[in-house]
Amino acid sequence: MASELAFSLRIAGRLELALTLPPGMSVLVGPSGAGKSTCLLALAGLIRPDAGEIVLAGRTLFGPGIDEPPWRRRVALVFQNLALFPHMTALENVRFGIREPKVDARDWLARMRVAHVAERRPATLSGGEAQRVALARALASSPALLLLDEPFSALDPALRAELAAEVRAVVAQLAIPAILVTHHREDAQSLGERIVRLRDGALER
Amino acid sequence: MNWSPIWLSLEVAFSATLLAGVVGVALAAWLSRARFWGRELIDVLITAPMVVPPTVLGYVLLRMLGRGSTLGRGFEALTGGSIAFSRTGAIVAASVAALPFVLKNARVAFEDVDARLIAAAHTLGAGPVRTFFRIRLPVARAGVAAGLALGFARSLGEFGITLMLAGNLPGRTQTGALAVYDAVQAGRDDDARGMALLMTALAIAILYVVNKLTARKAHGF
Repeated sequence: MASELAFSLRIAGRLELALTLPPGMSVLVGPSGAGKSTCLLALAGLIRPDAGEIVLAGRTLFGPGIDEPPWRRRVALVFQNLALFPHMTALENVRFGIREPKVDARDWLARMRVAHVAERRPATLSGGEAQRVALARALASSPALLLLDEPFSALDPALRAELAAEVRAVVAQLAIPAILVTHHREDAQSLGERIVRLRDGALER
Repeated sequence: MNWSPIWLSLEVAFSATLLAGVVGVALAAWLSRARFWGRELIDVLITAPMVVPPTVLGYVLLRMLGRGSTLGRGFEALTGGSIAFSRTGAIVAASVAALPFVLKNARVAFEDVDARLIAAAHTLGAGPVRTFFRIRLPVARAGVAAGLALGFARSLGEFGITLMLAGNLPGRTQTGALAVYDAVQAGRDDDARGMALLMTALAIAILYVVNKLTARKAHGF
């Protein structure tokens, strides 16, 4: 499939796995220290694997002689702490990542149901609102791959399920692969279409 | 009271802060992220003017930039003027004195910026330059501004390096600090007192601004 993600990654002592993921939400589940976040950071280009290959929608991001910097990968990453820019309003945060002129930041805020906080700074947002702004910001950047590093972990289970379902629907509509990392085994089933279990930096058999 | 040394001090301090600001902020931004051998050595060399006697520093600069030096001759060939015993020399002296204050404060401020903000900016398509101007500098602005203010205050009060490199030429390189010394030597006590009061007031005002910039909000319940 054209927009799938295929990768193999080796980071000495931390991670060794190979996966092919079609569009839609995949859930990467495993205990702390299993290498889940390391895997996302490597896919985003924020840490350099010792060896491997990352091919996204037919484009090689990493491989022999190739190492695209994170700003050219079109891989959006939502951090656990969300990393909203504190000196910008919610709207400015979303605008920051827009690559294509036809994309409207306000539309994405509305789509994530936080249009009413557009002019507010992150420090004044509730946990749920901040999560939605961070998701809107990532999605507005027209990513070819969306990575979510436990972004819902601070929310109560009901809100977590609600937001996860919304993101899952958007990802399905955009037809891009997405990886959601969680250590909540019980959540994994409801969060995505397929589950990948990781333990000690490798796939769990 | 002769105001020209005060004006010259302000003029030199503004130019020096600009020069030290550009160099110091750029270096701080680089040192706070780069990982290489010798990183701390660069920091130490630039911070040294905080502890090396100003006259020693002035002497070194005079040997490096004076008319007999390669750099000094190069500068003269390019501009027609000399660094030593000129207003340019006073600005260089004040810049060297201000640089450590800018570098130290800005580096701490840049190191305090959450690495995830920088990473997030990168994944949103911003390269290092855009990330610097849109994220790192605005988030670190209070610390950077404090460094600039302290650097300005330090260059305003510069004495030893200026005396060695630029001399004490009334109307040309005699800054406020040098003029106070001159006035005391010449027994012009009224002049010395007036300038001393004014420069002290300026320094205290700047420190007050620095405190305001760096004060963290107290957390209540």
